[in-house]
Formats: sequence, structure tokens, C-alpha cells
Amino acid sequence: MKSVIPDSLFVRLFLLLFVILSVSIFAGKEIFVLMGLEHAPPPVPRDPLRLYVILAVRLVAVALTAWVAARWLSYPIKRMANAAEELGKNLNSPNIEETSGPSEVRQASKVFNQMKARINLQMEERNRFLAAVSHDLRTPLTRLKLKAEKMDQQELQADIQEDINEMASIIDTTLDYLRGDEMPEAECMLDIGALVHSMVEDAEERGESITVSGHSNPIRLQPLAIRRCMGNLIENALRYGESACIVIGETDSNVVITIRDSGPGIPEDQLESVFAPFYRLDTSRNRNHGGVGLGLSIARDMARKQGGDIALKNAQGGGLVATLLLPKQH
Amino acid sequence: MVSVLIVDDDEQIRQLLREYLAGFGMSVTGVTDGVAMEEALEKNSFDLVILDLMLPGEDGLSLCRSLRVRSDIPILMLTARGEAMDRVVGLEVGADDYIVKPFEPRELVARIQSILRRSRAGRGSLAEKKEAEFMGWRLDLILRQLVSPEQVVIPLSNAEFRLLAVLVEHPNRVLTREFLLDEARGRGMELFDRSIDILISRVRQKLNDDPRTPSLIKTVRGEGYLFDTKEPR
Repeated sequence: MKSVIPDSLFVRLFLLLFVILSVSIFAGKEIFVLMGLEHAPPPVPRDPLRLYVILAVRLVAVALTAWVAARWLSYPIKRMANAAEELGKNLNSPNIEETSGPSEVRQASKVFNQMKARINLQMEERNRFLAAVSHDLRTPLTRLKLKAEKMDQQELQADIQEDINEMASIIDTTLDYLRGDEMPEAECMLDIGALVHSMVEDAEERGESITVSGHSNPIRLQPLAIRRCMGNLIENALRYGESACIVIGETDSNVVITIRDSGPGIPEDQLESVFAPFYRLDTSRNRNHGGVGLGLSIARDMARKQGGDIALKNAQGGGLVATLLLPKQH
Repeated sequence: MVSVLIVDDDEQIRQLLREYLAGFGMSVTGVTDGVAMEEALEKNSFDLVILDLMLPGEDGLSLCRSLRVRSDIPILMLTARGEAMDRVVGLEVGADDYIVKPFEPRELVARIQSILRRSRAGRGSLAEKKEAEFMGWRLDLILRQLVSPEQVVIPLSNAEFRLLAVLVEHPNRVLTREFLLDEARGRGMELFDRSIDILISRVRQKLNDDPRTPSLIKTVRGEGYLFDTKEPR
């Protein structure tokens, strides 16, 4: 059975001190009497009310003392736990104070700060590495593009250019995925309907077969993250399903965006696994569609960061439906 | 003849760009790094600098920043990263525009020409003018989005943005359909007379402008449209 009282250091110390103090006050005297080291106490007063008041006062005093002491003892640990939690959310949070508190806590704080510095250093190195890789991969692609420009055979030229663009987009998504959330983005009130409409219009301009309907009230979101999320979902629908039909709507608590394509769908048992990074469906079903299998995992990552989620299901009558839920409050 | 200075550490890219841009009447000088860039700038005068972000020695961002302090020569950044965040960073250090590798060579030419046109017209670069305001609305020229008086961010499609940018730039004047068509046309994109009307109605919708009694984008029958900011100029 799970206890209602939380198991924290504070509670443990409080209980311990309460018991020690109570025993020492109530039982201590009896032991001395039993051992004959002290005279028996005067007979208990007859007035039961007085007895209860004395008991209550003592209990309250004991509880108060235990509470103060437990707080005093558990505070440094609590502070460190808070700092650790802060670090989990933000790697640039300030260091824990190393100069106050008991020596064990000071020592732990120091180790903790060193660990944070090492993590930050590694993150920096990783980002530098990613930037260098990204640059080094793009340089030959840029050369190829310029060289293709000099070719005479129009058809082959277009083919090569398409391949180069695909490679560039693979580099983009892979690095995006590896880079993760290096840059925390500010939230703002975003007209999500206008965002989706504008992305659809841009896709139309490129000649894609895509439609959108519906609107919603603005919600608080990270605009670039949600643009990336929607972008990946639209790209997937167009790549595997040839066309996309988007509907925007809202419920009491969520904005709901569904993207339906007209492709072959996904086998029921793989509807969840396609969200795993680098997961590819059976190649015989989806040959030569390009992509590295990161689109959906990035999209879900971005949606979850906004407190939302993405679910996939096969539509009746064919096609895959991706549903993006974004909470109005989070 | 337009003379362009390219700073990129890849020799082949410099050579290929030299050949390619020559076809568009541009003479190209290529150098490897910041030190060579300084030397070249001292010896000759250029109309535009194309600056790679990742360079040996001092990187492109800091070169751009220091170059901007002492000169107003137009700068186009070449970079590997494509997030809008980076776009802002690139423009904040004083670059006039920004293109992501691998770029379409034709797109590069179009960007160069548009920067030169802007700098000749003395219109000021995007870097100097990051946003335009009208009637409590704000058009963010870098992130290409609209911010309502209630501080709601309203993203625009490329075509909508181009159209609105033209309107904002020429307020309180009747603009013909042909003019709008010409200015708002995307690269390689067919736009017809009718599509301007559709585009206008979409922009009106985003601006919450009632199409029957529009207060911001007014229809001038038989002539075109007028962007009314009601502010004395």
C-alpha cells in the first residue's frame, strides 16, 4: 500500500526527531524511576482536563522542535535537489553555492558544478563538430550544383540537381535531429491556423497537391518548433502519399490538426514504431522515397515540447492520417 | 561591370563562381580568408562582398561585423545553416542578405542583383530596416511574419509577404495590378491578374480587413489598390 505521507528526507528526520523527543520526555523519567535512581513522581492530578492540556502542549512543543530541526537538516539537500532539477531544464542555470552548508553538501555541490561544466563543454564541442560537419558536407554539394549548371544535357542536369537537393535535405534533418534543442526558443501567441495556411500556400506555389481548411484561435507556442513539426508532417504526406488534405479544428482544450494523405498507409503494427529515429518501413513497400527516417521523430519531439503529441492511424478507404494535438494551455 | 569579392576557403567554389557569375556580367575576385580579404579591399574597390560563414582563422560573422563598422559595402553571407534563428544572427551582424549552401546558382544571382538594386536606390538594406509598422500592426521583415496589435504572431506565405512588403513600402498611393504583380512575383512563378486579387483578399483576411469596407487595403475601381495608413506623411 502506498503511504499518503511522502517519503522525503524532511519527513524521515521529522519522524525520527519526534519519536526521540517524545521518548525522552515521556519515557525518560519512567526509566529512571524503574531503575530506582529517582523518586516516583507525585500522583497524577485528578483533573483529566489539565492532564490533556499538558499532554497537548508537550506534543505541540515536541512537534515544533522536530519540524524546525528537520528543516534545518534537510534544507541543504533540498537546495541541491532543486539545482539539479533546474539543470535538467536549462544547462545555463547558475552554479550551486559551494561555500555554505555542511561539508558533505559543499563537496557534493562542488562535484555537481564540475559535472555541469563538463556537460557544457561537451555540448559546445558537439555543436562545433556539427557545424563543421554540416559545412564540410555542404561544400562539395555546392560545388556539384555549380558544376551541374555547366552541363548540356537538360534532363540529366535536372536529375542531378534533384539528387543534390535531396542530399541537402537529408543533411538538414539529420543535423536538426542531432542538434536537438540547443537553442531554447521563446514562446509567443501564434495564429496556428495562419501558419498552416501559409505553409500550404507555399507548397502550392511549388506545385504540390495540397489543400487546407479550418481555422483556430491563437495559442501560446514556440513558432519555429511548430513550423518544423508541421513542415515534417506535410513533407511526409507529400512524399509517401502524393497529396495532403489538412483540416484545422479545435476542442475545448486542444487545437487539432489532421493531415491525411492518399498513400498506402502504414501496417497497423508499425504505426507506433515509425516514430523511432531512423526507422524505415519495409523497403519493398516504400522504395526510393528518400528521407532518412527522422521526420516523424523530430515532429513528435517538437509537438511534445509544446505539451502536445502526434498520433497516426490508417484512414478508412485508404491513406494515412496524422493527428497533431496542441493543448491550449500548458 | 559589377565587381564582386568572394571570401571562401574552397578553391573550386571560388573558381566555379567566378565562371558562373562572369556569365551575368560580374567580375569576380576570390580570396581564402579574412586577411586576404582586407588586402583585396585595400587594393581595389568592390560593389559587393560574398562572405562564407566558416573560414580558417577569423570566422565570417566576426569579419562581417568588423567590416560593417567601417564600410557600408553590401555583404551577402554564404552559410551552412538554414534556421531562421541563424538568419537573424547573420543579418544582425550587418549582412544585407543570407543564402544557404548548397544554393541554386540562379538564386544567388537574383539575391546579388536585388541587394545591388536596393543599395543603389538607397532604400537601405534589410539589416537596417528589420520591421515596418502601420496602424498598430508590425511586419517583421526578417522572420517574414505579421504581428497584430494584440501581439499575436501571424505567419505569411511567401507570396503574401512579398505583396504586403510592396504595399507597406508604397503607402497611400494607388498601385496598379501590373505593378503589384511585377514586384510580388516570386522567382520562376507565374502570377496572373486574377491571382493578385486572390492574394489581396488573403492578405486582407490576415489583417482582419473587412473585404466589403476595407480600411487598410482599399480597392480603387479600374485602377488597382491603395494601402491606406491614414498617417500624415
